[in-house]
Amino acid sequence: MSKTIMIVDDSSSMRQVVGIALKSAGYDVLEGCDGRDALAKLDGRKVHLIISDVNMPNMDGITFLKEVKKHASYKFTPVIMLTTESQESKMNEGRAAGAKAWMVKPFKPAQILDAVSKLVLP
Amino acid sequence: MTSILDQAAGTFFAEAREMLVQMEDCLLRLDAEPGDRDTLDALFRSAHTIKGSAGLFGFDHVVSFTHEVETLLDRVRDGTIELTAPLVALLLRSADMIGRLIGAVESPAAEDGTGAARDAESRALLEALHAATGTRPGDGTTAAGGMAGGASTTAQATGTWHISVRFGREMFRNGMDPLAFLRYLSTLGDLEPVVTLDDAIPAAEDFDPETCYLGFEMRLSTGASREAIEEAFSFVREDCDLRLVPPGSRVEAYLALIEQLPEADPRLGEILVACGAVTRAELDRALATQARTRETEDVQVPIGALLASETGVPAQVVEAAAARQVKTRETRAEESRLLRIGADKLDGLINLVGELVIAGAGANLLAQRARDRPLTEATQTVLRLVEDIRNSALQLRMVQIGETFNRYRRVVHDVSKSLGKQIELTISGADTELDKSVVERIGDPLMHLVRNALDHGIEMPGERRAAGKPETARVSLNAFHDSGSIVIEVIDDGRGLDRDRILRKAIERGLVEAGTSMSDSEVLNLVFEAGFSTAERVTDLSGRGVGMDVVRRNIEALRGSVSLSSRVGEGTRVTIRLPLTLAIIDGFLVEVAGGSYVLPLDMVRECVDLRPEAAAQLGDAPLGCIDLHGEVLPVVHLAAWFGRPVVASGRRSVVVVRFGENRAGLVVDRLLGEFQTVIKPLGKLFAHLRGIGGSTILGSGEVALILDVPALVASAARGAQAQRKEEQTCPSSP
Amino acid sequence: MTAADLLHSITSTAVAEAARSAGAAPAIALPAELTIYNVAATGALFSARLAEGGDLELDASAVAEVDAAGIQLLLAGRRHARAWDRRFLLHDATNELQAALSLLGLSFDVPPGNPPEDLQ
Repeated sequence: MSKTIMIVDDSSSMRQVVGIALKSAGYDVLEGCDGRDALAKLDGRKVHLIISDVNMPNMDGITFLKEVKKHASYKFTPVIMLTTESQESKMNEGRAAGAKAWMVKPFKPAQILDAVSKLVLP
Repeated sequence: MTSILDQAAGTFFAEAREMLVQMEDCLLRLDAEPGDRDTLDALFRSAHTIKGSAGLFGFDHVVSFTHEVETLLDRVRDGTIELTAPLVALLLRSADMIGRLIGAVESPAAEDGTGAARDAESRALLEALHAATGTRPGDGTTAAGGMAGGASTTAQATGTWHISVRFGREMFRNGMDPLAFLRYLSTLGDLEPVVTLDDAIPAAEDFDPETCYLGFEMRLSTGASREAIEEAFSFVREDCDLRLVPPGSRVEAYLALIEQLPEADPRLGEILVACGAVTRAELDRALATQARTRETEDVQVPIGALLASETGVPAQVVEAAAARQVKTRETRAEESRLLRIGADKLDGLINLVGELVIAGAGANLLAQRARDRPLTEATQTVLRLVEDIRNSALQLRMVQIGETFNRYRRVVHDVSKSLGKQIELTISGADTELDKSVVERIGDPLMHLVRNALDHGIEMPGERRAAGKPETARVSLNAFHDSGSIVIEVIDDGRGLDRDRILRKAIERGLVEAGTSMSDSEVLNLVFEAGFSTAERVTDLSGRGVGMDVVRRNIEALRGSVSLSSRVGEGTRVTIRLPLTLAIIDGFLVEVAGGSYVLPLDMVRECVDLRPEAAAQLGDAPLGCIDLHGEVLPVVHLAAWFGRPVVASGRRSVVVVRFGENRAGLVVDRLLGEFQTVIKPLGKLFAHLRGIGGSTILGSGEVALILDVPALVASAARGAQAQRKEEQTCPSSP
Repeated sequence: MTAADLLHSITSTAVAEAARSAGAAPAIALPAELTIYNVAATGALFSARLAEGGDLELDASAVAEVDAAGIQLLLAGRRHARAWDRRFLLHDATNELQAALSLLGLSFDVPPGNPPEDLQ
């Protein structure tokens, strides 16, 4: 049974590349283009990991994180937050909200696969 | 991976063009309406998206240039830099440049000949961006440099590493799965053997399945570097205790590991196997030889000597482990006539003894009612014996706090090293005994307090020297008994707490109103309020987000209290007061509105009558104050507090209770006297009830609620404070 | 507690004891996802069984997904059963569970698919 990963980013090329990389590694992928869209798409579906950008329109990554962690089905689901190195305050806010894994943009597809494999295997 | 990128490159170029249009739009709109927040955010996101995606595709030119734009926009967003018209112009030109850089990647042929001119212009723009941001050229290289940190596995000769890891309690709840980390490690090489340590799993009633208690000892044969192995734990570096022993290490490394292992008195053989210094087979052979030797002659050959001679284990490794075994054996010498029993069984016994106390009281009551003198005397004798049993049973649960204190030696050592501070830890009262369940649950709050002292209290050596203090700071942990409680103190001689700063902050946070008159002690203890944090910057040492309010809550959950005193420049003293046991209390029974309530006897100071005029003043308000020996005493009117009907007529009493520094009076209808009782925790359903700490069953079979005196005292104090604010005066003594 | 209550608690212990020796309680079925999301609920079943006086006999045949929290629950069950002087039995471990156990160097000493004989 393959594991499902949700990628939330407003950049379609980012979603596409990360999505293809994850699928080629054997994961199922769910996409959301911002926090609000992701919440609607999750809707109680089982996911094993969420990868989310911090800067997004409509609902940013930190708000999304706080919302998703309120949900009983996702409160223990690991989250990788994507950020830029200049956003230390965002990182602290996100850590407090339960995001322990961070990746600094930009990164290569191999790097995100490496990070993902520390948290869930396909 | 190239094929993935080829597939998605079209999406990237389309998206980038879209983002560039959006950037231009936003910049033009900002030119018209400077400072519009949403536009500014959208502008930042455009640059951010281009940079992130370009990095994914490895378009490093685009990344490093866009990084500068993003940095500048971040400063604009946080208000450090104002977005002036010339700046908008610069950003528009920069957006164009990003477009040209992307164009050059998309169709390299079309750019032939113009490349040099573009590069020159790009360099000029970068300099302008640097000037605007206020950074030196070259700072921006972090964008590309930051990417290198990933999975850089420099090939090395294969060797066998020893990895020792203890995961933090919050691992599972944070979504981290140690199993996944181990699987990841197994992709780096040959991960074998793995020893799973479940020693830290507590007894059934204290076990929380969502808390992580696991640790692992393992061997990894790999060509990967130390960094690559550590990188496997990068997401949990702060939440785990990781130790690596490199391949071909000298024996000293294993000696250090043996010393550092947190598990209590592990057997010598287990340690050596866990370290990978010997195999199980070698150990078994040594054990068998030892058994044979013992059969043939009475002289026991120490297992260490056998191991060293039979397997060629470096003698020093064996000595260190043997030394530890001797140490544990010495402490065991006194215990040798004792049995080791599971804490569960002990708890079961204590619970039964508690029931026996109640049943005995019931039998005594029946005998008294029947006016059967010989039977009454017999039941009284039984009761006295039961009380002796109770005391002995409770003694069984008592453990010394020393072992808990000793854990902090290493913390102090590690932290002082990493912070560059010189700190000496002194411990007194290590032999003070308290209930095992209390000891288990005081560890975390105590750790927080110690780390707070190390991190925030103690100054750097230079600062101490300048202040005329010895460079080596002192942190003390003291424990002692005081009137039915145990007191634990964490004392440091650091910079102390600044009363005015705390007050300012508390007012800022809305915890107190400006102009409130408060004593120094009241101000200092504001740090325990929820929503207060003195740390200006959150560091990794004092824990993220966990404040002193959590420490206080944890201690109060143990029916304890915490207070703090401090003098600027001289240091801080945190005093924790805890009950000796959680299972049984000597109670004081009172009646309120027809119901029975129990107070812990050791908190009762005295009982006085409620004077009619004080009763009139109090009315049916739940909180108030009365005059006691010429002093103002805040009181809680229990009937009103619990929303029961207040009977104004008749004689009522005030039970004066003390908790820590504070006193309060509890207005009750009748005093029923002393009573020994077992605390039964209330269900979760009642956990929110303010002022109730548990329940018990009386000898008559009636249920009585146990009052949570610390909470009531605190409420009374707050009530009195509010009243002071309204400038009402208490009724004066007639 | 009244004497009657006390008597009742003694009898109920005796009943539980009788039930235990008769081996009446069925094996606890572990959930398909033996993960952090289910350990609290499953752990409560363990505690209840131990409190009733029963052995921890676990049917692992449904376990399709397992994480370290799930493994820890099994380890805790084994420790607690020992502390209460009860038996701990795990049978029908699936491949997923076996793989996780062998990665962690653990074994519950019961071959898969072979329930122990002394259950009656």
